Amino acid sequence: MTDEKVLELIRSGNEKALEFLYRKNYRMVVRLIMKNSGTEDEAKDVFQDALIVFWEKVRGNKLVLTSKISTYLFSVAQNLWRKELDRKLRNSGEMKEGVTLPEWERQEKVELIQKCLKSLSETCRKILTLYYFDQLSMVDLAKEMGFANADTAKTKKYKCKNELDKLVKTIYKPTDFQD
Amino acid sequence: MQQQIEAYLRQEMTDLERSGFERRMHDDEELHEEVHRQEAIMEAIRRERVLALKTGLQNVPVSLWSGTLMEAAKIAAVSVGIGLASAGGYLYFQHQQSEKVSSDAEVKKEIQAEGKVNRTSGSVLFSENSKQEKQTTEKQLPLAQDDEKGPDPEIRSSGSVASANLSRNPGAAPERKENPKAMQESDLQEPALQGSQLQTSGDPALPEDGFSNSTKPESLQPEVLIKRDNKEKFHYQFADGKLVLYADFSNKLYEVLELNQYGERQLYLAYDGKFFALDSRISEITPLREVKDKNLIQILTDYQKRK
Repeated sequence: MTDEKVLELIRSGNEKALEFLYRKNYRMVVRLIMKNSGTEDEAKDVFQDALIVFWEKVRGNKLVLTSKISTYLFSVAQNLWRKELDRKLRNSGEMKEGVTLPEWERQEKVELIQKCLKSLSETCRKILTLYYFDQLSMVDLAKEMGFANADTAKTKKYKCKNELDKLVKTIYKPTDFQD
Repeated sequence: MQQQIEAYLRQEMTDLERSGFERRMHDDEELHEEVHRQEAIMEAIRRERVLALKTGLQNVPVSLWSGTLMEAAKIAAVSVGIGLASAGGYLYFQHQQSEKVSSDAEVKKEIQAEGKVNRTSGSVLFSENSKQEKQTTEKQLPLAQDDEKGPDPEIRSSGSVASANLSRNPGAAPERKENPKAMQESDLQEPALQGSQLQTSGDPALPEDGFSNSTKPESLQPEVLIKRDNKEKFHYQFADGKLVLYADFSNKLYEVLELNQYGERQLYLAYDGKFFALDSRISEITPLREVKDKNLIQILTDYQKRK
């Protein structure tokens, strides 16, 4: 599969392209990380994160590729691993019990909101994901969801977001999100 | 307001717009909280999607040996597979060949065994004088019939082969062997295939038809091979010195008669009260043709009666 074909598939939301890139570049990326103090599990996690970054950028039309996809993934994985090594280094000199309290509280809130998200309909979940994660425009969202036009997509997205907001408000007060 | 919050969080604002919005957040606690809640919602949506994508990737089979090495391993595995398949095919072919050779050898052995039986019974029929020989004949025939029950449906011998050198010489005394018994014994062991001239005893009843005993061509007495399960139902051919009969002789006996006619040997098949001429020059599968010549039929019939 050529790079052009991979990009085309990702733009259309086809996750098989991700699987292809994963299989093709796994050995190279994982060996890089393992040569730099990482385990295979850590390397796998970093490589998957790199692929998701690539997916987001291509889907959101925010990527101008000037090299081969493999080269790009390689550099993204390198950066992510470097950050992870820095974080480990910082953590080794700070609290060894784990994350800080605010961070833990924040993570807890996010997890609860994830539960609210799961209670939405499949269509709403997909619309919100395509808009907030894949960062599709309303035109592209309408095309992918099979809506009549961008206005229809905008209306449906608004309704789904309102529904989620209501669910979140039942769990948290606005003051729960103070700094 | 929601649109501005989203624009801010999706980094769709210009630098100027962003700085102005951040100032408002600083001043407006409610706006600040709402921005944080929306940020948490967006992060939750993102996490959910990342989780789904990662789960998909976790299910993809990968290994450190993937890539070119895996391809090389695949190629090697395929090559080994092809090699094994070729070896297996070669061995199978060899096995088939050896089976064919051994089956051919077995056929030859059976033919030889049949030949011995036929020769034995045939030689007995040459002589008319010995009751012992007739008894031997009776003993031999069951053997031949037992052969029918053998494993090979194609090779059967249900009849007897008789060869008679019908000597016709109206005026001459028939040739007599000095020691008939000795002749009979030798006949049992070495039938007409050896080329010995076995003659019937003179019989005045034999019609005079000009057959002469002056010339004695070599006997045509062939080995007989019966093939029952062929599409040809009543045919024959000569192959490799053998007479191959394509017919089912399981119910009635047959005889192959050898006639010395005008200095030439002629073979006839006697079956079911009829006679069929056998041309020893025929190598292709040919239908058996009934003898229509009444004189010849009479000669052959008389010979059979004399036995």
